[in-house]
Amino acid sequence: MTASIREVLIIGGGTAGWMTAAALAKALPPGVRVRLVESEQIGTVGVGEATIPPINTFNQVLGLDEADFMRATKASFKLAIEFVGWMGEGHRYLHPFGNFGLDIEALKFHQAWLRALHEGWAPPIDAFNLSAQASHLKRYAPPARDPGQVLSSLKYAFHFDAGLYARYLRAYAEQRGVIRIEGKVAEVRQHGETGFVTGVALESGQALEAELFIDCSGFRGLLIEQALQAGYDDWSHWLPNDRAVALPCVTGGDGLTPYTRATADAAGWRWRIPLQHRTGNGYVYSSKHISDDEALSRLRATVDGEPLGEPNFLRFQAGRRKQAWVKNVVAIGLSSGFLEPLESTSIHLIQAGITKLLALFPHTGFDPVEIAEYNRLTALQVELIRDFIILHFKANGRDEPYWRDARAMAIPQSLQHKIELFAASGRLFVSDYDLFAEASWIAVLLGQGVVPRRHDPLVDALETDALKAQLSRLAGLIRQTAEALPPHEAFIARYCAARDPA
Amino acid sequence: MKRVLISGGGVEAWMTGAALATAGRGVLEVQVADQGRRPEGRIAALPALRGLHARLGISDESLASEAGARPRLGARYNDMLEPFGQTGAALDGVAFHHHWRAAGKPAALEAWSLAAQAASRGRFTPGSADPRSPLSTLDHGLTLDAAAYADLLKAVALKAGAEIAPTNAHVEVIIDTAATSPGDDWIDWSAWLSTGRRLADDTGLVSTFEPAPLSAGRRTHAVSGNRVAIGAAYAAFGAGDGGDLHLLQGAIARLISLFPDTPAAAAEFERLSAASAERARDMAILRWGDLSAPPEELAWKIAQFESRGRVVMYDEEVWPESAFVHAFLARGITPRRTDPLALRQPPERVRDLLERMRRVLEQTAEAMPRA
Repeated sequence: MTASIREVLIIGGGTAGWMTAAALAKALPPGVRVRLVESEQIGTVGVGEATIPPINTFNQVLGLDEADFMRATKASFKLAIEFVGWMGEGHRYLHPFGNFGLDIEALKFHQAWLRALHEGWAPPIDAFNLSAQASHLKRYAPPARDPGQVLSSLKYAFHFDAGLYARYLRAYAEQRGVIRIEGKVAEVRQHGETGFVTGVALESGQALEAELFIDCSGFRGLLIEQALQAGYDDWSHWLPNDRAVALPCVTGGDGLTPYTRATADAAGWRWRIPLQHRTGNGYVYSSKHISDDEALSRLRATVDGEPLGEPNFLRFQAGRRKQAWVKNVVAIGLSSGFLEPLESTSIHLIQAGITKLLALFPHTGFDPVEIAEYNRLTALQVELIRDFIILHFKANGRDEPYWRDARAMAIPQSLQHKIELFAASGRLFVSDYDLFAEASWIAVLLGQGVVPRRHDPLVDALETDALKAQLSRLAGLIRQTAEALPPHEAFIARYCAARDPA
Repeated sequence: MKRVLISGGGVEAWMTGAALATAGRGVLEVQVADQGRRPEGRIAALPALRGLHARLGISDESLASEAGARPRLGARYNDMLEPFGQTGAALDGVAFHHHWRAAGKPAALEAWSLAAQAASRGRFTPGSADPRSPLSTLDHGLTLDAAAYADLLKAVALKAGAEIAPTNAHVEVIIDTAATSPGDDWIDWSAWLSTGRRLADDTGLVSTFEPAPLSAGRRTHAVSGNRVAIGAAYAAFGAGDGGDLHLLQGAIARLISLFPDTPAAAAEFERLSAASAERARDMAILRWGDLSAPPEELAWKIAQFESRGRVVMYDEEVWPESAFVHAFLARGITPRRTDPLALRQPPERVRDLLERMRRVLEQTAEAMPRA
């Protein structure tokens, strides 16, 4: 019953499939064969080309060389997301990586800042975040290792071409023994009594057997849904966007920004992701509020460079697979659920799935206790991210019907409590399971206009002149540190310029 | 200025008074109604209490000279040592105890704890903040003379501006720290915890505990009207091993970051208080309670550890992961199988590595001065 797993079959390539293959090749003990079946005829959805800082952990575990990986994926650095127009035309704010300021003994920094705000002398909160200041100046250099230096507070992720990332990890995985099989799955075979998946048959007639199956087949969930009927929790009443159209363009506008831009539009929002060789653009929208044609013409009208190639339309439904792991099938990537890429969580959710799979890697007995733990953690993590994304829509300041509907919608109680508590007194308690730490919640709550009515009375005990001096010194240090960094574009050119720029 | 009355006495009341008066200097008027008997005997404290001392400006020297503080490196439960600090080091992101199992448990787990190594030699030195030093894995708690410690906290509180409450004090908020007893508003835990633990012997570096009478449970509400119950006034789980004080310390920190003065804040205070009391309760049950039908969260934790040695950490957890590993093993709860990720390296190599780690710890312990 408790023999080790010897055969793993990954169904589907793409970002999810190859990230999983690379991680398994690196972490599993010798003697486990990992195979991946994918078809060149099936297109992959290039899930979000923007990432968040935990991607660094994933790359480090694999032992990737950062400059080499960035060259191969035509990557740029990402320090923040700029939200434009979410509180009305002309409004903008940053959600930067990293923290705001430093806590003052037991007091939270943002409480001291709120006091300054209420007294009318506060600089913008992003003056206290190095990633934000570097974003404004479009500068970048690697963070310092010495925690005593201001530069150590810089936190970063990447913009990259997800298709190239998958290709890069494919080479990595194949070098470490993963076997790639070209083909389309024609049939899924299950055990007559247990319902466990025993293998798949390809259109070529080839049969593939394994003990553990990873479903990276995308939205359709070839194994997890079509064979095992895991079910789907529909969240479209909170997140009604169900379409996207993507259209890359030649780099233009403000160029190679070290941040992603998310611009609110009449029936959704538009992304702008700068890569070394092009800019990724897209419009995520609700088909109830705008037609595909209108969405495309809006996107065409707003891209800041010559379009490259044909537009690509995607359909989706916000929600999550009720059970991401059923019997001997684990769904990773879009097969496990979908949240729009507003906070660049798609690749992170793949990574989180892989991390949990490794921590709970099964044996041939498939202990139900471990499967239940995987599903418990998945549900917790995804629901916390869902709440964070809903916040952006709920607390908006726009006038179109789409945005009025979003303001009026009922939201999960967990989120309602968080907003009320913060609005009253700036207090915030974030779960250890939440991908988005306190600083992220503060950035977006404040950015979306949830400004606390009061601050913590304990910060009133701080001496006003001393507090003013302390905040002004801190903002000055952060600004100086940001100003001393090289321009992002120059750093990329020196550090990791793609060999073939086109 | 908000007026706050702390009711209760001894260590609990004055610790709360000292922390609130220090953090709320100039905005909180803190009064302490020092009621009840003067505390007796010695009490145990966990390593984390030293963080509070640092914030209150209490030095190790004054603790030793004025409150009879002595370091302790661990506790003994069910004849098993549970050392403080880190046991072993994670390899390739996989927790140490998995490698220890994969290598065939070449010695008892505490052989890889510097605290245990030092304690068995009767040697002691404080840990180091330098991550390259083996001393960075060492941590220590304290035992204290309760009455003298209460006096020391009282002096700190008064110096920070707290006052002894006059009779009929007029206040806005009452913070209750006095030990509670079951009433109408009570969730009973006695089926899991029929006794508590109190300090039995602290003459060496490892303290031992003996059963103490207990009515285990917690109040349904931490906040009612203008009264806030914290520490022993809110929950009773009999952790005289330092766990009681640790929960109180957490509640004081929560008061400072979340004064429950609006309905939304009170609701959040209740939620966090309940969660941390229940996590501390689960550890008490795991150490000396009845495990035949544990609470749901603890049952889940046990099932996960039994399957493959995974330690589930919930929100508001009071104890670190390695404390759970020792506690599980001490109660005879062992994993059915080894984490497959620990099998990536050949067992001989892991055994060599473990042997080298053990030798470094032994040498470090040998080099410490006698306690």
